[in-house]
Amino acid sequence: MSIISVKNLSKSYNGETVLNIPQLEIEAGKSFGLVGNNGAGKTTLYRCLLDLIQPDQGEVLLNGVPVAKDESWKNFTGSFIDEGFLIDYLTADEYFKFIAKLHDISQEDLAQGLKKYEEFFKGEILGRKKYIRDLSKGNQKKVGIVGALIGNPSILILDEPFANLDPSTQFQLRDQLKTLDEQTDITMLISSHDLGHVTEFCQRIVILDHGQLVKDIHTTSETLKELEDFFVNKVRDAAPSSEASATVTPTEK
Amino acid sequence: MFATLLQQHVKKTLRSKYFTQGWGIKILIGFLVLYFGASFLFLGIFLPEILEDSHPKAQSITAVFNSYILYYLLVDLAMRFFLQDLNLLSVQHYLLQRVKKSTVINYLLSTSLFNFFNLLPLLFIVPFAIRGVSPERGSTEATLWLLSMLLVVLFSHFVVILVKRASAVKQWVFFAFAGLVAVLFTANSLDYISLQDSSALIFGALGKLLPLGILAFLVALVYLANFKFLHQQSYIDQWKKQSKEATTQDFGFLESKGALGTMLANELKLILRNKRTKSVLVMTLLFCLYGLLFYGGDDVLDGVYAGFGWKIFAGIFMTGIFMINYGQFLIGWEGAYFDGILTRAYPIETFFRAKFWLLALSAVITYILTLGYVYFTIDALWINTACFLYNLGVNSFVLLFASTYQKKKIDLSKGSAFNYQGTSATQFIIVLPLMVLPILIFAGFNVFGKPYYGLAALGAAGLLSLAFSRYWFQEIIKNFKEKKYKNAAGFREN
Repeated sequence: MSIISVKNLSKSYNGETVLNIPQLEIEAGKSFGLVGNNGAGKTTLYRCLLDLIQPDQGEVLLNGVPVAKDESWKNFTGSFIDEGFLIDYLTADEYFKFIAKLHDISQEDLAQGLKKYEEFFKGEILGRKKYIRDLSKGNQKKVGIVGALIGNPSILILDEPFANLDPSTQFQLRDQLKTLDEQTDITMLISSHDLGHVTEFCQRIVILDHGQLVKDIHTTSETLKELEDFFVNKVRDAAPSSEASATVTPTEK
Repeated sequence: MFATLLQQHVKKTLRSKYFTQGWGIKILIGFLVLYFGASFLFLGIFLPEILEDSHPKAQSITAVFNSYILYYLLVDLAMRFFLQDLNLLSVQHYLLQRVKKSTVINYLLSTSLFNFFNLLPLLFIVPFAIRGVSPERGSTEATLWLLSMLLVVLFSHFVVILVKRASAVKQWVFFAFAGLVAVLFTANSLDYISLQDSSALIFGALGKLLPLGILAFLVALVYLANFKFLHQQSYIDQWKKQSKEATTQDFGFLESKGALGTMLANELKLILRNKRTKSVLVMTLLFCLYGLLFYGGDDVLDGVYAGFGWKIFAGIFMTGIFMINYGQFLIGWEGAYFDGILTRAYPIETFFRAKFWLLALSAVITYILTLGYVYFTIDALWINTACFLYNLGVNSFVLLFASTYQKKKIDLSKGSAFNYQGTSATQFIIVLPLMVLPILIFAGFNVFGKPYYGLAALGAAGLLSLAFSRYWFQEIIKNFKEKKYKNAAGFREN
């Protein structure tokens, strides 16, 4: 049974279609990668999945729950989109406590659960007298990602989790997610510009382009090459026209 | 759940940027709050006596008060409309958490009540209920009256939120609302209707149970309407205004005039495309009318000798209103990209010369606009000309020099009403050369009965200072280079 199910989804702004997905089914327990250039519609799709915007057509079912009609999907879905979803006037500890409370998790269990991330946090997050708004971008991201994992969600949705992190932390995060994927039956949905990271642990990768699903790949050893070819060809195909416009634009503006 | 959210609201308030500001601002804001609070409290306490004085024939001052409630309500609605807002984005972070949407909306609506506009009326309604209504009608009715008035305040609060949210979606709602208020006031002043009689009719029975019930019903109705509306509008792409197609103005003429012209054109774009700078423009136009208070209807001769000092104040203010308002944050406006300014390929002298031209041009424009006061008295010409020259020659350089001490960034997307972001001690200190010095120069002659000599001295001071402009620029740039590392560090902070 598919745990995430997208049916007939479309959204347009000012007559311009930014998302058009006839069908997308994601199986439970699989980790799923979403790649695409800027403006391909990744964030719009994410926002539709999390009921943050209203699609013009179609619906999203998380674990059978239609997100637009029933709020219970929040009980089993952890997500982090960007820093705007952090409560920036709380300290990281207060933020975690708040989320734990929402999921009826005791303080002891929370402390126990956070222990796993001590290394990931590098001592820069827990027990510090600093509001989230005063943390660095990378640390804010860590708070958001770990916050999304509180309450043992069965679905985890992360938008660009690797962006803004230093190289060591990127690998650390990748390993964390990999372990999570292996040890639990969580379904992960991860978007990234880093093709290497997604091919590393996503069993299925989808390319979104101009709001449409253009490629659906089950990861093999060839996948990285296939992805790279797709994006390189995109630039090459567009090359003659973009070269011409590149010389004209500066004088036009 | 709701209690947890309320707790977070308290944390948010205590940890807001207001409390991390410098002591100067805290004292200023504290002073303003105390001043307005005390004014309203005194008004409330002595309102019974005031009403008795102004309506000696009235049998009941409660009835007199009731006949003004409609006025109050209309003014209150208009004021709130411009100054009060519901910040939907502030609850965005709850949307993905395990919190019901309805809880979030209830939280948003109820915390919106903790606001200055709901506190002020309390300060005069409560004392009036005790000292005005209670002696006339007994304590039970006074209590009911007080509760009814509180409901009127709540009604006003939620109506404005609804109208404002609705007009963000459909613009005609705003025009319909503004039109209704304007028509009511016009009809009232033309004696077609009487707001006072209507108010007496509508609110006359305030203090009885029935009107209390009706008001409670109305408040509940508006609250529910708000709730329903927000529930429908709870998608984040409906909150942020869709970015309109960027309007581009053509400053081709300026941009063809070398680096200086290009920078001037850029600055004009900055002013025209940002909310806070645009509101400076609106204020400029409003304050051009300030002179009506000083020149309009005054006995000319009496005005010349009695209140001349004040007219210098008004003159400096009017002919330099944009210069002073915009110039006090001359570099702060560009704080977001100060590092860019430091690394771009132009001499810093050009940067300051462009700023000077901006200030000078604005002074010329406000000078021409305020020449209209010659209609009232020819003295307006002499006063405004002298003040204009002083602004052009002295104040422009004072502002440029003071700008080299700015290190606080300004968020251009916020309005300027009640906004003290970017303000520091500098803004208070520069009032001395900006405002006090010209008044002193003038007063030096005025006390000997020679006001026109004083005006001449003021104008001469401006021209003399202008003659030294090369020296001033050197000093400003020297100071800028000395302070720039500190300033850049300040601008990089939030």
